[in-house]
Amino acid sequence: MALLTENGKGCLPDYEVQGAKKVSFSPYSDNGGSVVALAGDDFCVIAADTRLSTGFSIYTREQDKLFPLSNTTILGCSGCWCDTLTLTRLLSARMQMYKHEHQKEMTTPAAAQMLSIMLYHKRFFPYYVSNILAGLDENGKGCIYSYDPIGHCEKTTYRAGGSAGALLQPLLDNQIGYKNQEGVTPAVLTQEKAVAILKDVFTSAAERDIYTGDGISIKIITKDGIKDSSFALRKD
Amino acid sequence: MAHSFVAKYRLRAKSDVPEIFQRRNRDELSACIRHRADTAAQLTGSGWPARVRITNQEIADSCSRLRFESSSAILDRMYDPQSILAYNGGAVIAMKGKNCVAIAADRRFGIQAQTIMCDFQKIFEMEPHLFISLPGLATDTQTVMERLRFRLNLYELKENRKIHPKTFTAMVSNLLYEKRFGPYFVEPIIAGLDPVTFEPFICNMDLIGSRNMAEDFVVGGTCTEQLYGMCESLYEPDLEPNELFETISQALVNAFDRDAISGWGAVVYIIEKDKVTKRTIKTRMD
Amino acid sequence: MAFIGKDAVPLWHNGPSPGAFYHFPGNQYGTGGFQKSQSPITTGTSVIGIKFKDGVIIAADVLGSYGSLARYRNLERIMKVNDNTILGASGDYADFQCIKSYVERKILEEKCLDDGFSLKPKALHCWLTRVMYNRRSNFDPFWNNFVIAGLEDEKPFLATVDKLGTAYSDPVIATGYGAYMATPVLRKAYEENSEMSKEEAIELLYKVMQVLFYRDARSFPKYHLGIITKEKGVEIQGPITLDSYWGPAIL
Repeated sequence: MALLTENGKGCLPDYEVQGAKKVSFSPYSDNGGSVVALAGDDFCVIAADTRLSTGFSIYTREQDKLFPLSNTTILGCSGCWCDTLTLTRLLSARMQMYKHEHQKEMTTPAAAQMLSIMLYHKRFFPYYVSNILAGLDENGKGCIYSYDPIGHCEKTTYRAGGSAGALLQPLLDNQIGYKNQEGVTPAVLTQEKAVAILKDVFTSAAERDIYTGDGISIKIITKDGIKDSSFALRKD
Repeated sequence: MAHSFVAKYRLRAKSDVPEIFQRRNRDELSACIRHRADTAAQLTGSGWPARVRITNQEIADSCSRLRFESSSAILDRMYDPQSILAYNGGAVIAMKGKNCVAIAADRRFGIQAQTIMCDFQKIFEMEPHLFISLPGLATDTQTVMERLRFRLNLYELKENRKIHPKTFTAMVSNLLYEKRFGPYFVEPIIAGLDPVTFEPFICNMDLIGSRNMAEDFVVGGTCTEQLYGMCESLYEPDLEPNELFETISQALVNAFDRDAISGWGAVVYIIEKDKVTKRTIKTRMD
Repeated sequence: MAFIGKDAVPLWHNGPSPGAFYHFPGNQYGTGGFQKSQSPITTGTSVIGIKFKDGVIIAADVLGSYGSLARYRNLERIMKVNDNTILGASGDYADFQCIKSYVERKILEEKCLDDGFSLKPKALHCWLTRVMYNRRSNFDPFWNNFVIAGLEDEKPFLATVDKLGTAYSDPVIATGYGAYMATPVLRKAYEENSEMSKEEAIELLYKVMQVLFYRDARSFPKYHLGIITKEKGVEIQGPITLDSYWGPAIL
């Protein structure tokens, strides 16, 4: 009798039966990916890698993570892919509703504010997405908004986010923000330089971050529209 | 009679914690805690807060508690290396150049988010051409450095020659692996020149001594991601000492500016055949 | 009684105790009476699929595992949705049957409209994404990994959705263990020849199913093929039996 009850479970430790197997369920997954955006005086470039992965396996090597919301606004997403899909679909629906209601497209700052509110709306069951919104403001100047998963929003002129965000941001500080450089007059950022830096930083990130690789898709936003290009990264 | 039988069973069921841990709880851990308390006291003279000064009674208490609660929770908390390695903060790089090497570190000493001092030494000269930095838990940084110095002195007395960086690396690795199951929380970075050929050498290792001899650069501390991002982009092979200084400084400073618990000044050593240059760098102090 | 420990189990589990309500089993998670799916029960293993020159092909074996027990040996895990779409499922079979009935109802409703339009593979894929995402957001997921194959505007389409609603499209898709063992083989074959013929694709999948049968303990040497081509529409072939050689294994 003591044997059966003493250890509290009413069974012999050596003869314990496993019982019904319970698999833990997490509603989130980390699907990796990095986004970098740079703003110039009359343009904005945003780039994201094209690898969709989880853990050590790669789902696909050609997943676009840039979502055009209007002719002057693009959203780059990385993190939990199922949340990204849901969020971007909701966003484009809201963009369309706005367009029909106001007879004009939403401006980038307005879209930025809307995104912040939509993220905060799910404060206690957040979209696990790191967002970077790039576009042109009312004056046609390049602008970038970066977010945390629950809607904190900051306006900047250059930003790296996602799995390689920590690797890339200090480099952008140095090369685009001229941080810790003395006696240098900051040159105006040109499209060519922005794209060249983008390619360089992604190549570096792909060396050390396994969730970034395969390729990048680059979108350049100007008042004349959006230009697409792509660039190959290492695939291992 | 039934009782003793049950007791036996329970003991056996509890032994999911490896033997080595349980033994360590009592003797080695207390030694370890005492040792750290001593070094801490040395470190700041009598200025160390009374709360941190651990008495023998406390050690006995905590050890007996450990013995009874033994397994999971407490051990998990004590041996989660990440939180311990990030307790004081710090950032270190070493880079190879053309006939030279550089090693650089930040100067902050803090306790979690609180900065204590801004001229903390993290790079140690073991030989004229051999430097080591031990980012991680500050008390272990100093302990390990002193123990290495001791072993190095013995080596040189016995061998009557200067140590090769590679040999020194093996020495560090050995010292760390001796504490495989209760490690020193440091991730060493070694930079130096061969005492005979003056060949550049850099190396880093994890807290239990797994060595990585790199051809380009090695990084360590609490902002390794940022450091890797900077180095991977800025580094190029065969830099002259001056260029190497610029590269390593930019890499370090920009990386730790994006880390809350390292920075507050930097120090850079450029090690060449006939001279070693030490430069301190002014950085933003927030 | 003195020697019974303080944590002893009561003699009567879950019975009404004096002055208390009856404790309903499964109510401990506060879901108001029903238990959310904690884990899959009867499961199917990998589904694999690849695009070829003018179509798509997917394969899934016929085993329904009950834990480690090979319980059902003739389950069809590939369904024909309509004349241009097929759906393959790995994971919980009951959940698949549930989804299957939803899809069948959708198709029927569409047939009733009789407007000449039919559900396209991309639409089904998108719909499944929403269903799966909805269930995961209620912490009550469909424990499946779906593979959707079809022809959309005469172009091959191959995509997948998992239990979280993670969805993507790729020329090569494998779920479950196949993700680790079949994907490398399929990707290599696709990179060498992305314009393979139907026969080549069938042969490739045969080889890959063989690999899976050898190494995946929850697999079976009989499988179905779902093929979509412009000429023949949807074909579900099978069960096809795999050859295997166990000579080196000491039986």
